[in-house]
Amino acid sequence: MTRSLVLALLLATPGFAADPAAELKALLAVGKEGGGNAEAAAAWKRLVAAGPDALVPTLTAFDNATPAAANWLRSAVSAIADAESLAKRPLPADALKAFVKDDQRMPAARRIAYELYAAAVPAEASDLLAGLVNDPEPELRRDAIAERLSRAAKASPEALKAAQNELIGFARDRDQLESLTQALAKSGVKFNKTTHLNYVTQWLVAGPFENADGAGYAKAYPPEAAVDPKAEYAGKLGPVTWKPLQSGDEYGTINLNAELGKVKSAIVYAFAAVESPAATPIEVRATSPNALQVFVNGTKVYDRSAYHNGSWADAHVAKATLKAGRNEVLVKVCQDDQKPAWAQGWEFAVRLCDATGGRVPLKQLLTTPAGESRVVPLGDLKPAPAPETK
Amino acid sequence: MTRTLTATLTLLATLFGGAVVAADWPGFRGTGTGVSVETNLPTGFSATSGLRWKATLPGRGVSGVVTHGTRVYVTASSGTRDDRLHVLCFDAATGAKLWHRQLAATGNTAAHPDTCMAAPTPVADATGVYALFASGDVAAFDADGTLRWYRSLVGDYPTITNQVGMASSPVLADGKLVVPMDNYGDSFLAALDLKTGRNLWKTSRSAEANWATPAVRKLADGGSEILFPGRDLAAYDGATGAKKWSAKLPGGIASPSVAGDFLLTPGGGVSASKLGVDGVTELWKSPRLQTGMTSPVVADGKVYGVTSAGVLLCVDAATGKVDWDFRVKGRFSASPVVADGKLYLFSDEGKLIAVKLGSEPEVLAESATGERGQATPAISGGAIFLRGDKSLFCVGAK
Repeated sequence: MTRSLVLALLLATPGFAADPAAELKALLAVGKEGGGNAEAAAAWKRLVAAGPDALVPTLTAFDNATPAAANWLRSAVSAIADAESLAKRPLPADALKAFVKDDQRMPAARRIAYELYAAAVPAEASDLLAGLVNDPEPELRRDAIAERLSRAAKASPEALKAAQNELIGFARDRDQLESLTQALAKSGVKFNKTTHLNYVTQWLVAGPFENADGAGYAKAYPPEAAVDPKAEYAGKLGPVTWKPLQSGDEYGTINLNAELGKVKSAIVYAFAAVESPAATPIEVRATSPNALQVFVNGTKVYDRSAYHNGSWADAHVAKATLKAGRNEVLVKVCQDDQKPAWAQGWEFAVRLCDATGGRVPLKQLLTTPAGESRVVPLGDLKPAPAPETK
Repeated sequence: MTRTLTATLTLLATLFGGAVVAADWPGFRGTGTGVSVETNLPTGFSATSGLRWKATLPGRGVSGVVTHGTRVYVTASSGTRDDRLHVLCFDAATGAKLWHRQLAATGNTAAHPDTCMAAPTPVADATGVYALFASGDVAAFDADGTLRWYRSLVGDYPTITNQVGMASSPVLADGKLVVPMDNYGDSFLAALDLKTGRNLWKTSRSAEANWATPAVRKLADGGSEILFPGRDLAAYDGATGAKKWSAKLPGGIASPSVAGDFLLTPGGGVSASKLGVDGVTELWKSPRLQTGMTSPVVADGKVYGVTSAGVLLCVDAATGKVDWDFRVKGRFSASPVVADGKLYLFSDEGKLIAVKLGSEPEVLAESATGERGQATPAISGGAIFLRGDKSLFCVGAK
């Protein structure tokens, strides 16, 4: 059989896609509410039928994919890999490795490529993984740190301690940070998680404002227009002024019930100014059980009107861009009127970080209600109270 | 005996003398009742016998197993952020994995530790499986694993949020996939086209959390009515999504059951009602049937419910009178299921407990999977399917 005949037969095969560009274009074109799904479904079949040759182009297409389109791509990759696994055919390990190492590609696609590579050549994959401790993809980063720690633990106690010292700076996940912090503490090494995670620990707080029947959530009280530290507002319980509060919690929590008294159907605004050395994209990551709105430099970047359905770390994430110099962050923390014990929390914590959850070089600009200004490091905690003596 | 009671008893004898469900177990609690017509079922298994097969799963799930024909479908979620979504298909006879497809969560994955993104039970038909995840991702796969369509509901409606974790399962009705999406943001019930996933209708709901799965009532004219609890129980036209009526039957955690005109609604106890054209007539309410997260099951004229702490109650379906109660060991998130004269419980600790039904309950067997599990068991093909946190167990003769 001649090569041209083979090629002709391949091209005649309905599922064959010599160049998957048309198929990928259809997958990338899926829109809202299922728009483009019919065309994408036909393209998905042809793409998967193309087999392993379509893997890298499909992973590369993540660069231009919406989250919905990325799932069309992801499922196609898993279908191709699944078929090859069932047929006991090897995946293109070298191409997958090169893709993992290409940090210009989308992190999520690189993670998929890594897993396929690890399935193909598990013995070599751990070496690749060990070099990814500063990877933008959170699971690669996490697993790379774990791999390096595992290797160090097998080497010697000294190697493990050195690795813990080195790697904690790359850690982002709270459980991994806690584990490393505790391990280092046993060696007498203190690690400051608050500054590492860039929690804003000092705020000017104004409130409570009225939130009867939840109506205050949509009402723009004066602080949303501008923050004047000397201003006095009409509050829910009387005149309201800005009050400085500083967290004593290493994860930056401000407990409003403790600070302002337990008030239901209420709203508090928390204000902080930070100084950035340059314009930079950031993520505002908040932890709170309350309905929340976040404004950066006067622009609302996040709102969530749900009350008391969890207070998971970093559950609220907003993207924003800081300008060089002074930037203002305003958080609206809303409490409802529910009576069960699980609905009493009124608190928040906010950190300003990069896309990996890591530190960005910011300083806090403190302005007191008296008008005094000073620059302090971000993440300063309120000193713990001195132990009582008898 | 009053006319009403006579009519009710006649109705129940007709409806529950023998449960009318197919041997497939296509959705949450099978066809929505938790009852199967399967017979000759095992009572349990041991380390050396009674297990047809066991398969490793790539992640956790409180979603139930579903079956259609020889296919067994299950969902899972994994990853540090619980954002890796899996849909798997196994051969019912051998446990061979036929395919495994992966997606990523596009919505928020924060949730109570007792649940996860693989919480809604998928639903299957002859063409394949429809999988909804708590992150608002929904996909349809053909039986051979071909992706038919995918939707990111949070991409479409960005304010969707429930960080306790959503768990309502989709149902098939009126030739459509009905997706319950009650939450604190854009809250709705929607019907999606089986072939494309596009909206056929979308009806707004109160912005509140809800973990219950709608019940489907088939109407005499061939249409269907979707009965969905919440602050009230509301009935929606399966063809248009229009709200037809509502009744003061609050719920939102455990799920209702419908058989003909008989409706069972859990919520502050359990209520039994007779469905009419534009509402319900309450037959009885049993405050003692506090079933927590589990949904009660009706079989042979009796209602069975288990509390989260393990009190199994049997209530007369005609009168609501408690016939007996019985304590079993364990905590229960999974709903009880009934088949072959037996009631099966699956405890959070991973124990299958088979109870012989009758005037006095009798535990026939207790079998341990050895791993935690919260999913309602499935019954199909002479076997009981149990889903643990790590494994899928098929209990039945080889």
